[in-house]
Amino acid sequence: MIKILRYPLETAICCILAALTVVVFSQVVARYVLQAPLSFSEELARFLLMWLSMLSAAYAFRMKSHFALRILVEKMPESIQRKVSIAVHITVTLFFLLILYQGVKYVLGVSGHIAPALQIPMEIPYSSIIVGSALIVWDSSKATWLELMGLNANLPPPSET
Amino acid sequence: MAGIDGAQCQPATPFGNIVATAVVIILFVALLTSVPIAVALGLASLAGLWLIAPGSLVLLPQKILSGIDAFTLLAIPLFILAGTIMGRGGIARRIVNLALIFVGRVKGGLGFVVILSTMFFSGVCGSASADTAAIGSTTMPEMLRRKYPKPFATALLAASGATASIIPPSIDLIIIGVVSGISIGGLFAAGLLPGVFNAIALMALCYFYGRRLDLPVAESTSWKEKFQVVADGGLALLMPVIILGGILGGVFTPTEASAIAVVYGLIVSLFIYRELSITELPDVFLQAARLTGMVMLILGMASAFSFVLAFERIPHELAALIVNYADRWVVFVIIVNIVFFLLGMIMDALPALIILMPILVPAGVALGMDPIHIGIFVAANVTISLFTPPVGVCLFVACGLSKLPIEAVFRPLLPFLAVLLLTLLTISYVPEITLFVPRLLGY
Repeated sequence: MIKILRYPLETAICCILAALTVVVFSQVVARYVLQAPLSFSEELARFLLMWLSMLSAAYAFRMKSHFALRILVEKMPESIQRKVSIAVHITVTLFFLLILYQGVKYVLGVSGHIAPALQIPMEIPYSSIIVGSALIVWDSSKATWLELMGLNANLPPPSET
Repeated sequence: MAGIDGAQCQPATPFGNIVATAVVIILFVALLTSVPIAVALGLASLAGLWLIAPGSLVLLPQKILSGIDAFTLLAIPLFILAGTIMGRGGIARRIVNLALIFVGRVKGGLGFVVILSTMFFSGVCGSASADTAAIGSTTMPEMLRRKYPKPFATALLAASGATASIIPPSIDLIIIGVVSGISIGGLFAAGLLPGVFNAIALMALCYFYGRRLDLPVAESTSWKEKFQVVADGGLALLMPVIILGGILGGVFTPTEASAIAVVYGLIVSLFIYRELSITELPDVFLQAARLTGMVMLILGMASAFSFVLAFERIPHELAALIVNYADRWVVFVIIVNIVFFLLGMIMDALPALIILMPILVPAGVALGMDPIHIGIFVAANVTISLFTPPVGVCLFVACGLSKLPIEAVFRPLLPFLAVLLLTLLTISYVPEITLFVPRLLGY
């Protein structure tokens, strides 16, 4: 229980992934065993996938595992590498801040639309992009801050000679 | 500004287009400064949308979401999860053991084991890096224990893990199918023979090396032991049969098969082999989620990017350009192969697939090619980029397992690269290899 509270993102991802498996699997079971195709499973699975994608993307940012090309940057001296790394963190933060803002605008724009099979408002699946970007903004601004502090703490004062 | 004037006059070539030029420059600057690929694509689309109309930025979240909203795409997280479960739950190890009793006694037999196991494991797992990691973590220590040269062992694992990924299920094939509107079942059926063909070519190379380096053979096993391994590994081997048989036989869709693979993998690992405990599950799920997040975010951003290009009619002009130069399919194939090979050298192939395939498939079809054949030879090309330096993921995984720096593997990789380029050319120019199975099954 404590673990669930301490790791809300991780818990949410595991639950969604499990739910996704159950939904798609029960679609097969319903079709073959019960001979009664489910009407809502496809839509539900698609909405779960949107949430899973955005939350997992945020999780991948937290674990610093997104694909990036580092060949060029790795050839540079340490001090420049750090500056580039900070610049990248700031870029990521600002970019997702913008996605967050536009995402809110987009979700407000679809209010009133209802999903045909599940009969739920479309804000529910589409909000995933808001939550995902907010998490990425939070994590990458934290990473920026840490890196900035690390830069001040770990490096000797730059010698001007 | 001069740029605004430029936007107003009609562009003569794709690169006379100011929006396209700006977008491509931003993309490459961002990529080269180690901005994550997904964000680099997002930044480029952002710039493009802003140049088209500053008020259209709300299209960005819309396009990202619509890029990941398809029932067929569900197969991606689920096949990744299935692969992770089976790698951790002892299924990968049993496939290796099975291969060992069949081909372990040949000179260089462990190499055969690596090739066969990555191939079979790829039949249940959608991701090349997961395949390489799962099979490599068992076979690499074995190869090193039997005094296989480290760089050779690493190159072998990277090459076979990468090329096995064309065996269905495959994330690349799912994405190719979704973005260019080709039947995924058809692509899966078509990927089978080229995958086996690659494996045979690799085994021939391995046999040659086995002789030349005088590689040791595995210890002989008694018939009793052999029987035990087969009995123990039967369930693991049944898995690819169920998944592929089910999809190819039309019993269930690729998406449904992915859920079945997860459930089967869970039952076998948790209750039959008992190598995975329930407490480890969150860890397994999160490992799968990480790759899912990376792939899906690239997919979303690349569809926003594709939208910007489409708005500027770039795909249209590019297709016209291609058809202009490649007036016969023979030329088309070589151009497409060169483009993907070069792109694959410098970056992950996923964005290139998402952006280029919707353009290339209709262009190829116009030249009389079968869309399935186009999808497969491009996928085969992309598998090569998975083990070529500097950015091949399978190479990273293999080097991680053998603890070698990537530079040490460059030379031993060359023969593998040469052999696989030859098979790529064969697959590209002999459509029958690809189309035999799907035609048999009526796709």
